[in-house]
Amino acid sequence: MTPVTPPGIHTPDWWGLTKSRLQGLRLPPARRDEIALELSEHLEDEFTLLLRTEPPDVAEQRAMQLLDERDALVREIHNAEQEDTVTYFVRLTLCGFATGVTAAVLIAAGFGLTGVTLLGLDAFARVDQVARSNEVLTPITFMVAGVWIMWLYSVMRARWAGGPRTAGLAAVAFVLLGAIVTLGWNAFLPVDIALASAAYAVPAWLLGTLAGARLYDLTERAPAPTLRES
Amino acid sequence: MIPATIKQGSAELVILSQLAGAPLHGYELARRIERESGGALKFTLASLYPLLYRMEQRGWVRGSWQSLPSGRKRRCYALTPKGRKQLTPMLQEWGAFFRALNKLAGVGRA
Repeated sequence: MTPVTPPGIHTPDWWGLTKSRLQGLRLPPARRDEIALELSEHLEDEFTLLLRTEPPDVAEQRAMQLLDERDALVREIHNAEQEDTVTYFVRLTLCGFATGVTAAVLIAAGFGLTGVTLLGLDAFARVDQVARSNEVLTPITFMVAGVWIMWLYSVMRARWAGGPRTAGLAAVAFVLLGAIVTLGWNAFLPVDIALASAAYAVPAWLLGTLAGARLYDLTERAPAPTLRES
Repeated sequence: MIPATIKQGSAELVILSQLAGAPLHGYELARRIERESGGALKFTLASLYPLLYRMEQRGWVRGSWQSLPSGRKRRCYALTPKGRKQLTPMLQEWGAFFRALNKLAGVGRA
């Protein structure tokens, strides 16, 4: 229930006071104003509640004390708000790189161990040649693809819970989208080469995404202890 | 095994468990926690709101503005399905933690 300030009592400009305290907060103005409004409502509630037992000047002074830890307030809000900007992009990039590198290593290992050396199938050998002569397997291509998959995972994770299932879905979505986008180009490829490529790429990207997603989940920063015991 | 981050999750557990009952705005949430813990647990502005913002970014709670007849506005926080899913293992971890403490140090008899 919302406390109501008794009529005739001067109510301090909590909004202005809070906004001035948050000046050091480097956030978009609209977001800063929203936070200031929310905190000023909190202060007004506290002030109104204190008026039940205290004279107005004492109630105002005690409510103002809530803003005393201004530095901690600005720092904590800043950290909380930055979590999804700077930290998000850094995590996305690094985990995307991890995804791309894992997939590239697995595909390369697949060509080396099964495609060429062990199975000796013509299609696998030709895929290996194509991969080596073009830039399909260049690190940059895999890094960019890895970051894209991690972005997809982060979006899906916000909607559903994170974990291997969501990561698997992201990998499948990536492979399907990739197949659709390159459909015209793939039509010129012999069927055996296309199948051999898929045989390597699908499991490699699946495992790469699982590794990247695991890293993404592990690097989520846990908030600092915030409970204060009296 | 008790996770190393169990202490860090204490504040999250308190908030999620309170919001599991009904949506609350920040002030009401802080008052309720203080009242129901007998004054033992207190949130400050600098601890409550940043944590709520983090939990909102993670999709555990959802804040929405509500206008009151008095003209004031409130930002009410409600638990999301993802937050509810998060709460269950937290309760289990804390239950295990207190059972272990009780067994080792007789905390329950203190």
